[in-house]
Amino acid sequence: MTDRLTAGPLSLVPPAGWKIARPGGGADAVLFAPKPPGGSFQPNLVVNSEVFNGSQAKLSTVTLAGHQVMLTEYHLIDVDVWSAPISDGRRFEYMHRMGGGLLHCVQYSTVVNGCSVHMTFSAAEGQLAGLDATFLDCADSVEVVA
Amino acid sequence: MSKIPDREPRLDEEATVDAGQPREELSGLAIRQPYRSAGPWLSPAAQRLIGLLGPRAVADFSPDDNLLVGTRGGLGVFERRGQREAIKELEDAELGTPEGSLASAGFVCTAPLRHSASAWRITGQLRGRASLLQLWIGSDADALVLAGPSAHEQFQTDPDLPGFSGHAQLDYVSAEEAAAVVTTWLGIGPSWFRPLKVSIGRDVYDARTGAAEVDATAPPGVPATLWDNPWMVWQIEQSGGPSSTFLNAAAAGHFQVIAADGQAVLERIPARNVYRHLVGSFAGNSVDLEVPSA
Repeated sequence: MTDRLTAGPLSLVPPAGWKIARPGGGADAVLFAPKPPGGSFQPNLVVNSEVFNGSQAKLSTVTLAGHQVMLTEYHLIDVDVWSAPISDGRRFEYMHRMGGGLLHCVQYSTVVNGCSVHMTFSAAEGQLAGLDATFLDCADSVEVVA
Repeated sequence: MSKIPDREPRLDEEATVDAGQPREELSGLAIRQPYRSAGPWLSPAAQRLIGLLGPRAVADFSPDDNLLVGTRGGLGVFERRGQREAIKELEDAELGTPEGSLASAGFVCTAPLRHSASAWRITGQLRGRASLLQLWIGSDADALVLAGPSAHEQFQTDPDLPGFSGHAQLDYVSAEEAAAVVTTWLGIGPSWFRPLKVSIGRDVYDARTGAAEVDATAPPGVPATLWDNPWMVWQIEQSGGPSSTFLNAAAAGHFQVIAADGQAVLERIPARNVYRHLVGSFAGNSVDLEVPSA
């Protein structure tokens, strides 16, 4: 049986080979992909949650407004429905610049049991093609903790 | 989260009805996203000069193998005639020298012209106004971009102003960022995806994409929301290869356009797949534009 990781109100199956790091900055979980050669960006997943009393549509607009304020050279590519085990979530895909490099993020967000939860995968632009399926498999593994 | 507003967001009524669940308004998000470049704007003449000088330059190492030296391939006396303004333009942009050869920055950023893995033209047309982005991907994982007015600029431009002058902004980026640059230039952004495939008579399609004004009524079989949104048609073409045509219909989404039997067949695709198509194209791989699960 695969080991599941509990992160806030969710649990998930970590991608194979990814290391669980000590969460910082109030995150519920932080995971890192194996270190790529040549000092490239190390893809990661951050899960965080907080009390949220509002609809999924409201979480979406609040999240997107936060991106616009917080992120440098932000470009939102796509918004779609995330219909994994939780009812009506959202999948955001966007780019932003951090530390000189352009990052590509896929963020799954939902409202569960009075909390907003965000699972944010980040990779360098050139790494995304090799990680698309990894991100999708991990998001598909998500369950709500009873 | 004290800054969360009390009120619920405005909903996209059509998407909400189609889904049977609230769908927040996404229209207006994509159109507000600018193309960012700090590169110099170059006239067509200065771009031609870059195209002439770039491939001539030769990089080599000094006898002790420590210093990269370049033969910067300047212009001959006769070639310099009539190029004075273009030479001055490149000099002002710190790309060229007063003698009409490449300065250091010009030498570096033209490497993809000397050692090209692939070369691309992306043309865009909105309300009859054209624009062009040219891209050279270098064999050293670098890329040279010459970008005319972006979709964001095109959407903002007064339709009564003169058309595309051929001026372009020069940028030198890593090859892995090429798809991101083109995505931003094309204004690829979110809209609620629902499958849609419509056929439009080729003459109607051509008139719609080339006109500054649009007929008020959608042709039979074309949803009003698709017809009423602005259409930016764009084509991507590899040098010497076939081209693909797409339509960015703002809030109505993104479409692949296929010509068939006198018809233009428009099939909606998710924005993220447009991005992946660009990534795959520049990497030399074909990408399935079919709709995956989220």
